[in-house]
Amino acid sequence: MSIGTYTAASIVISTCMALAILSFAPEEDLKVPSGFSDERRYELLPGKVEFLAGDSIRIGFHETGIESIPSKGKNTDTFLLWVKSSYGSVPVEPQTDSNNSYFQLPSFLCETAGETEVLLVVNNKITDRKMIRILPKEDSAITMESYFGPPSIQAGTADFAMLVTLPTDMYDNMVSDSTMVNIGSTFRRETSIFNIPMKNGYAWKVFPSTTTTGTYFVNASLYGFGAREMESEVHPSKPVDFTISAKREHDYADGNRLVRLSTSVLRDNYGNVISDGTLVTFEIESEQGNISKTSGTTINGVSTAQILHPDHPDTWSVRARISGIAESDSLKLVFTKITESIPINYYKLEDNIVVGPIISYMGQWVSDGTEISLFLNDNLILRKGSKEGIVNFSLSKLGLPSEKLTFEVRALGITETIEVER
Amino acid sequence: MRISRKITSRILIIAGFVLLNALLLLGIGEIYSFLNSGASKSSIFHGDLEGAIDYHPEISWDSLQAKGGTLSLNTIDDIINDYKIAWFVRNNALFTGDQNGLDDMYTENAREKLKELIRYNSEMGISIESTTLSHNLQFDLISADGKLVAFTDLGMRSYSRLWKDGNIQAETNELASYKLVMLLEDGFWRIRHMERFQSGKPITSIYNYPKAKLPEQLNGINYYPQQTPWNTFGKGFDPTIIQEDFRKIKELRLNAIRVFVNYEDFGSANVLTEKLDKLQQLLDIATANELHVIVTLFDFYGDYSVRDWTSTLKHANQLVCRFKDHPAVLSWDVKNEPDLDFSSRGKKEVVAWLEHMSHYIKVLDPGSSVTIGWSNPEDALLLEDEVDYLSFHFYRDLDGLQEAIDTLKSRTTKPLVLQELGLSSDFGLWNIFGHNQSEQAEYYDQFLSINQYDGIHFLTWTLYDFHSSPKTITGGSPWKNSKQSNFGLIDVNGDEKEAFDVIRDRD
Repeated sequence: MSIGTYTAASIVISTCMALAILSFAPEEDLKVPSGFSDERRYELLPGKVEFLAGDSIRIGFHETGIESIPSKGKNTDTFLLWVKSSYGSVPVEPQTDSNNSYFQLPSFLCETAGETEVLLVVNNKITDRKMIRILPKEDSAITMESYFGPPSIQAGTADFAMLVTLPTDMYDNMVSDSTMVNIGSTFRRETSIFNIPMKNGYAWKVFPSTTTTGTYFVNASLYGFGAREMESEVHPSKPVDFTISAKREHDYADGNRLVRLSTSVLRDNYGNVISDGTLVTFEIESEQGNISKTSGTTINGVSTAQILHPDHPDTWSVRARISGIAESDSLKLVFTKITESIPINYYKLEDNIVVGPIISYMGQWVSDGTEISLFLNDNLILRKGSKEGIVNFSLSKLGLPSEKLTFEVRALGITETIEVER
Repeated sequence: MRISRKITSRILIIAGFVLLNALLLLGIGEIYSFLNSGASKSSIFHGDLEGAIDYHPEISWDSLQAKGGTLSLNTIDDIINDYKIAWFVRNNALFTGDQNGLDDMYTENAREKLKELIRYNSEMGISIESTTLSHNLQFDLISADGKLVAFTDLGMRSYSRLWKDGNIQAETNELASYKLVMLLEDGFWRIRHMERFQSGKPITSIYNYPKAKLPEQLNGINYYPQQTPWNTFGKGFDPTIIQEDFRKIKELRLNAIRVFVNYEDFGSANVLTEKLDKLQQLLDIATANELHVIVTLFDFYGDYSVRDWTSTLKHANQLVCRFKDHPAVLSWDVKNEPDLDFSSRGKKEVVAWLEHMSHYIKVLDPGSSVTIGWSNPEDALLLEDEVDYLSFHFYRDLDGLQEAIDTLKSRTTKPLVLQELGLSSDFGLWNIFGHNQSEQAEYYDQFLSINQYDGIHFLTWTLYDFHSSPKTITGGSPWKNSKQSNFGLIDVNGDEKEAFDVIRDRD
C-alpha cells in the first residue's frame, strides 16, 4: 500500500464515520398527526406582510386563542422560523426582549425581494406559515444593467437590434413590474425617448433596421439613473450586381505594363455603399481558356486590382465576383503584337545564334527579360530573357551534330526559323 | 546486563530510524498528494459538471409566448440543462456547504447572495436538504443577440428538509413560482436574477384521486421463475417458462401474481428498453392467463437520499407510463418491505421518499392502485392516506394473524392485502428444527380457515423452491439459504408439495 492510498483510505474511513453519525436520526413516530390537539399551539402574529427591501423585519408569534398577545412560549418548547427566500431558505432563532419573543430576519434576507414564506416550527413541527412580500427599494440608487445587441445589423427590413435593460435597486433586486423605464435612441441625428414598462425584471425595445446605414445610439434610464450609451451599427446589406472597367496605357502585348481593373461603386439593394474591405475577385479567361485570378478589397465601394499585360497577342474576358453574393458583367480586352518580325543571325565562328535586337512598337528595345525560346524539331533547347533587346544562344556546349539544322525561335507570339550549317 | 543494555539501545536506535523513515515517507507522501490534488484539467470544461450530476426533475416548457430573437430548440435545450444544473449545485451547496459549480451557474451578483445564505446556515449549524421535483418554464424573452433569456418557472414543486445538529427539524413540500433571468457567459447559461413570486399553496392533502378498485377476491402468489429467483428479468428470462409457470398458477385457482422490478437491474434513472420489453412479455402472458399483476418497484433500492429522488422519480415515470394501460397491471407496489430500511436509513427519510413516490405514481396512473409492501402489520398504517389498500407481510405464528387483522380493520377502512405469507419446509441438515412439507401444508390449512372467516386478500410466498437463493437475500449463511429456498409450493424437482394441493383444493 503506497502512502497515497493510505491517506485516501483514512479519508474514506473518516467519511464513513461522518456518514454514520449523520445517518443516525431519532426514531419518532410520524403517524401521530402533528400532535396539535394535545400540544400547545402557536401561531405567527398577523401584522405587516409587505416590506421594502432593507426594512428591518421582525415577526412575532402567539398562542392560539390568546389573540394578538405576543408570547415567549414555554421554556420547554423550541421555536424556529424557517424562512424561504428567493435564493434559498434559512432558519431563524427567536430572540427575547423583556416582554416577548420574536424572530428578527437576518439583514441579507430583508434585502432580497420576492415572496418570502415564513414557517413557524415548534418542537420540530410546522405549526403555522405565512407569506410576506419584500418589494424592491426603488427610491434607492438604481443600477442600470443593459444589453444592446447585436453590435451590427444589416440594412433593410428584416434585421433588428434589441435593448434589454435590467434595472436593479441598491440590493440588486429586480425593479417592480409596470415601472416605466426611459429608453432613448439617436439615429441619423434624430433622438427619440420611449417609456417602456418593466415586466418580470426587465424592459426591452426593438430597434428595427433601416434602409439607410447609420448608427443607433441608445441608453436606458430610470429615475434619472442612467448608464453609458451603447451603439449598434446599421451596416449596408448585401451588394447587388455591378460593372467593371479596365484602364491600360496601351493595347500592346508587351508583358510589361499593368492593366488596372476596377469595379463600379458597389451598393446594396437600398443604394448604400457596401462596407469597406469586401473582397472582390477578378477572373481573367484567355483565348486558350486559361484562367488567372487577381483580387482586391473595396474602399468606398470600389475594388481595384492589377495584372500584367500578356507577352503575346491575346483576347481576355474579365469578370468580377463577390463569392456567392454578386458578380459583374463580362469585359473584353484585346492585346496586339508589339512587332512583326524578329531578326536572327548565326555566327559560325562562335557557334552562336543571336536573336535581336528586337524592336518594339515605337522603335524601342523590347523590355528586358522578354522571354525568347529556341526550339529544334519542336523540342525546347534553350530559354532566355532578353537584355537590351538581344538574346545570345550558344550552341557549342549543347553537343549537337555538325550538320545542317533548322532552329525555331519563338517570342512575343511570333515564330521565326533559321537554317544553320555547322 | 551490559549486553542487554547494548541490545536495548540498538533496538531503540533501529526503531527510531525506522520511525524516522516512516515519518519522512509520510511527509513526502503528503507533499506528493498535495501537489497532485486540485482540479483536473478536464474539470475546466463545461461537460465535466454535466456528466457528474444525476439529477432528473421533470421539466416542461413553453416558448410560444417568447418575444425578441429566435429561440431554437438547441438553445432551449442548453438553457434547460444549465438551469437544472444551477438548481442541483445550489441544492448541493445548501446541503453540504460544497460550493462547487456555483461560480459556473450563477453570475457574480447572484452567487454572492447565495454564498451569504450558505455562510449564514453553516454558522447556525444548519443544512437544508432539498430537491426540485418538477419545473414548468414559460419563456418570456430572448435577446436578439441570443445572450439573455428571461422566463418564469411556474408552480415549481420541491421538497426540503431542515437539518440541525443531525436531526430533521422540519420538512416541507413546496409549490413556488420564480422569475428568472439568465445570461450566456463563457458558454454557460448563468442565473442573473431569481425571485420568488406568487407562491402557490403548499401541497398538503395530495390524495384526491378516484380509488382504484380491487377484484372481489385477490388470491395470488409471489412469483419468481425457479431457475432465476430474485432475477426474473435477467439473462435467463424465457417466455415459455413463464407461460408454463402461469399455467400452474391458474391450476392453483389463483388470480394474481406479484413480480419484482429491480431498480438497478432496470437501469436506474434511464430504464433499459430491453428490460421493459421483458416485463411487457410477462404482462402479456399474464393477460393471456387472466392473472392480475402487482408490480413491485424499487426492489433492492436503498438510497432514499433527497438528492437521489429525481432519479427514482424518473425511473418510476418510465415504468408506470409504459404499462399503466396494460390490462394485466393491477397495482403498483412502491417498494418491498421499506420498513426494514428504517434503522439504517432513518424512518423520516424513508417515509418521506415513499410518500412522494406513491403520490407521484398515483398522479401518473390514477387508474391503477398504489400500495406499499410493509414487512409487518404494525407498519401497514404508515402512509395510509397515500395508498389504495394496505399491504403487509406475515411470517409469524398464524395464531397472531386474526388479532393483527382485527386491529388493522379497527383502524382503517381501506382494504387489506396480506401480500406475503408462507412457511419454509426447510427441515434438514441445516435446520433440524425446521418444518417439513406436511407442516407447511397444515400451515396453509390453518391460514385458509382463518381467511375463510375473514376473507382478506392474500398472496402466498412463493410458487417454487429454489436450488439456491442469492447472497444479497440470505447474507450467505447456508441455514438462511436453506430456509429462504424452501417456501415454494413446488419442490426443486418440479414435484408438487402437499401445500400445493391445499391451496388448489381450497373452498
